[in-house]
Amino acid sequence: MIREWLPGWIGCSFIDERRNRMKMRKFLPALLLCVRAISAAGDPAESRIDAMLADIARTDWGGDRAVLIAFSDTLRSFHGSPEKLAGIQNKMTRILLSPAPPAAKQYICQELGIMGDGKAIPALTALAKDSACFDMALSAIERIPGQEAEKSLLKLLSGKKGRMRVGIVNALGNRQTPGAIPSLKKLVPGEDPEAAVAAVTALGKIADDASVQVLRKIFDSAQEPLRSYTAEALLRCADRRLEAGRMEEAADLYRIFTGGKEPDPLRTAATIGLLRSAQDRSGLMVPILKGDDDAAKSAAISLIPEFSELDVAPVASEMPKLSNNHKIQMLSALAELGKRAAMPVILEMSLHEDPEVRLSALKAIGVLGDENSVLMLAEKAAGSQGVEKEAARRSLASIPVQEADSLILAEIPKAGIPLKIELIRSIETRRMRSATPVLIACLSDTDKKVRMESYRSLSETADPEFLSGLMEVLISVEEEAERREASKALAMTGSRMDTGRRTALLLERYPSVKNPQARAPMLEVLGKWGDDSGLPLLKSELGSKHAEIRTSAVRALSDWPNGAPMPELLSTVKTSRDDVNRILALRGYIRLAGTGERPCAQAMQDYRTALGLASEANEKRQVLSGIARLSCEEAASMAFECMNNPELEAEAGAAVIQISLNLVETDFTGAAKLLERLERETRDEETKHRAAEILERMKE
Amino acid sequence: MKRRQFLKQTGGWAAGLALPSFIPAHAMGRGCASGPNGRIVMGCIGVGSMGSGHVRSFLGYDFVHVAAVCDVRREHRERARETVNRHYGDEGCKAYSDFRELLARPDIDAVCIAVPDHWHAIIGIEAARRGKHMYYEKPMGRSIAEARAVREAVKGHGVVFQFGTQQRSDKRFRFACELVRNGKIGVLKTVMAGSADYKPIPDQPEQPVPEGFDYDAWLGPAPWAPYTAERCTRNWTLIYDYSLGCVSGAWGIHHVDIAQWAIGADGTGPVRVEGTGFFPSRGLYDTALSWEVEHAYACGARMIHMDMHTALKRADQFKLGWMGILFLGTEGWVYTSREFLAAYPESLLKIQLGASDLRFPSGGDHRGDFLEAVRTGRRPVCPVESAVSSDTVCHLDDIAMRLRRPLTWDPVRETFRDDGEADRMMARPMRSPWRL
Repeated sequence: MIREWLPGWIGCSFIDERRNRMKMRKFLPALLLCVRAISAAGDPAESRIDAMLADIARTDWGGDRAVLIAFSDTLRSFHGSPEKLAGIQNKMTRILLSPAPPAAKQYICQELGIMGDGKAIPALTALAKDSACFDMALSAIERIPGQEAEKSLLKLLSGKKGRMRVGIVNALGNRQTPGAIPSLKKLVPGEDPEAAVAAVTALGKIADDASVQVLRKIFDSAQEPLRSYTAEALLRCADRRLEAGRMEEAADLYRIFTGGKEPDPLRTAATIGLLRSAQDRSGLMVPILKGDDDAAKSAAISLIPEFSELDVAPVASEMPKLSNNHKIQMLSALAELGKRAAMPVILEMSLHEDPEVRLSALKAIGVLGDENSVLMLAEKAAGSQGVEKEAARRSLASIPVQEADSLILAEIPKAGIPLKIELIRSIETRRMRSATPVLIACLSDTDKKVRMESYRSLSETADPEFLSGLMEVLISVEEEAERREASKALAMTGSRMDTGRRTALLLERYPSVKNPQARAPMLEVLGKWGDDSGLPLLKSELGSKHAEIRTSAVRALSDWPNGAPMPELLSTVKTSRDDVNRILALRGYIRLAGTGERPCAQAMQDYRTALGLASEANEKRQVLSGIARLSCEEAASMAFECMNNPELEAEAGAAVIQISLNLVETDFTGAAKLLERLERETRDEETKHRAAEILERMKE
Repeated sequence: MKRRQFLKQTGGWAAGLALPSFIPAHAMGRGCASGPNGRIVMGCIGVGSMGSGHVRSFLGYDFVHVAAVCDVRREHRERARETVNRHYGDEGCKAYSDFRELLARPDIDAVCIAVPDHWHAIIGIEAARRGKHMYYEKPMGRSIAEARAVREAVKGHGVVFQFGTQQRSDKRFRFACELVRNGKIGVLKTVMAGSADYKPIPDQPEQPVPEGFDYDAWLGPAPWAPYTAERCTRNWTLIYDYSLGCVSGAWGIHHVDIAQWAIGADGTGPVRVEGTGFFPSRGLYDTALSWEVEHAYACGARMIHMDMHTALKRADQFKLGWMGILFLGTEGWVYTSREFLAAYPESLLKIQLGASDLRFPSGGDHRGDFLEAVRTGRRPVCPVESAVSSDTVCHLDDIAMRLRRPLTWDPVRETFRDDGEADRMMARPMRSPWRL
């Protein structure tokens, strides 16, 4: 229309000016209308929204959600622009009243639930009258704040039955609508038991004084199951008063249910509430513990950790009279509460005739104990067996006070053997760094068990400053088992210090050690440390005239953290006349082939060499284990080759599986092909099943 | 330091080896406590793929007696019942289709809840109301309101609650958190959690509901949607009507829970959250496919929760082991996943914490920890308070992504500050007649 009109207007003659003015007056309103229409149609945001809504109105289940996502983003972009959102909301509600599919209406309802206001309520209420759309409309109304929503729900309530009525009652409860109380009251007891239960639950959520009044009246006459739901609602009202600091009112409600005739769960909940609302909690707790209501006792005990200000002594003093189960429960609770005032009773319980009670007491001592508990726990550990021994040891390890450490160190020299051993062990479990001098002194003890325990503790805790001293111990010890422990202690202590210095100390001391049996473990320590500066010595000792030194050198090089000694190990495999050393060297070679970031091709070359030299199945399995870490086809090929050997079939299959898993990230198809081939070719059922399982998961 | 060296040092490699799913009672060090006084009678609600695993695991404790199973699918509950009866050599296990009947049994002490996520809260609250202790699979539910309602019920009824975030019983995660909490990496600055993501599937046609499957009951409080088989597989968690996908139930909650533990934020949470997410426009699954959300905590730490592929772009450590958590401090870092543990400096891995350090329960067996809590009354390693605070963080992620703006959260009052829309999203209305 505009295009037709304008040229004519522009082209009109101005000869008759007055006539033209009259024409303009006549057409101006229309012109203005057209201008407005032009500008409205030209507002890109508005037309975009309209277009999106038109698409949304065609949305159905399983369709493209792009427009829904875009529209939601648009709504979010207008957050804080209520006028804009009001306009959009208006358009959204039209969809609710249109013949759009339910899926479209559901989406609109979801969004209205987030951004809608009272103006959306009429359309939602109308939608709720359609039973197919009832829940979606209700969900939106429930979320929209304000009086309009409440009025709508109350109006709907009068017209609905069955599950829809229950839904509306639920919504009123969730909104905590006091105005709904008269309507809810009418549903109880009512002809619909489900609605009655929903109504009392809703009253429990509203929880104001009027609700409580109604609920109390219902409770007095209700039968099950309504009675228990009403009780639950009253408990909820009590909880709300508790949260608000209205303790007496809360207690008043809880007391309704603490009588013996109520079911256990109800009495428990009421007892819990009553204790939480009490001023004098221990004053209330003690009579419960003295009583004969087991459920109430359990409830009371369960709250102990929550009451940081609890006067523990009178509560704990009830423990001896409780059942064993309750004793166990109280011991845990007191430990969690963390107050030492309970210790006298806990110590008494550690001597109880029931082992479970003793165990719980020991655990509690581990949390609450102090230096005074040390000897008792150590004696318990020394004198008991099995789980009690372990519990005592764990507790000795965890007593959380520094003074316990000092006491342990002070007692060790004086203690008898069994006690000494437990105290030495606790140095390790407590990670006492300052105990090295005491432990080194214990290495001179006449009792071998004491010495062995001391070595073990030194391994974990020795101060690296004492490295030289430990070296002297290793050099001087004569008995084989002790030498092994001393070697371990030296190695572990050295691992806690600067790499250069530890090896330098050992290399300095080594030449003056004449005894080959003392030299050998020193070499193995070098292997554990793996410092480059130790390599030359180890390589040269491969040619030692002493068999034990040669073997130790092989072991040490096999332990190396990288592939540097591989040539020497290979040479030993090929040339040594000592079977033990050849096998050790081969195993070391295979192990080192897996270290470092070497390209697959290079690693495979080493593995092929090793496989060629391996005569025993164990070494071949070790090769398979090594190639399993790789992610190349060559590794898989080698594994498939090994599958022909019945001794290696299972390990070869496992290697293929692992290689496939390694390949998944970079070559998914290749990995799948390997597994398919494995599934076809393996005769091992478990391997076949595992391959099939992984392939199935990969398909997902 | 490269991956292999780390692997060598930690003594393990990412081999996907299956770990035993339970430690038998005799290995727990407590001795057998069979008999009426020591025995725990259990019911298992939800016995599909995950739930049936729980059934088998709980059968492994000789002081537990599984007396009942429940599922809305007949084939699931019958299969579970057969498994139980075969184990005990009798016909004593009863199978229910309605969880309320199972929970009404006075002989049942505890339940395992492994149903679809949208049912978690309703069943958990009813279980608490009935005085049943519960092993409660994650997540808490579909909303912050559901999580809080469960917490109220659990605390109000004094039952034992163990959240199914079993990483708290895993030695690697525990050690990583101990290192962080004891200041071994200096001051914790950032936690980066790399969760799973998923492969979308095409739109699914509507199908007839199979015989023996109560679809309406399966839907329960969730909005109605046409039945299609894929909707009701264990991947329901990827559908927003039932859960939050990989942001929470499908994986995210595991790492968020560990992050909270390391930060020392159990029972509380971040104060600000901001992030973005990408939601697929086609296909059955509609939860976030990729996301990156940053949380700021009052203590100064921040936590960035991402999907796996985003995480791989953000920090090299995520290449060391699939789907892990990285803790960055002023003096080092620790990275851990279910099969991997790495740190810088490496010496951190050799640290042995002593009596004066903060130590977490040694555990190793998450179900066993729950059972011991039931027997002794002590706190389990994942109680309801920490469960709700971790679960809430995942919901904050999702809400922030959907609203596309920074949000301020009050972790004490557990509400948003000055954002009415976000407040409304804290709860999700339920389909009639269901309610909390």
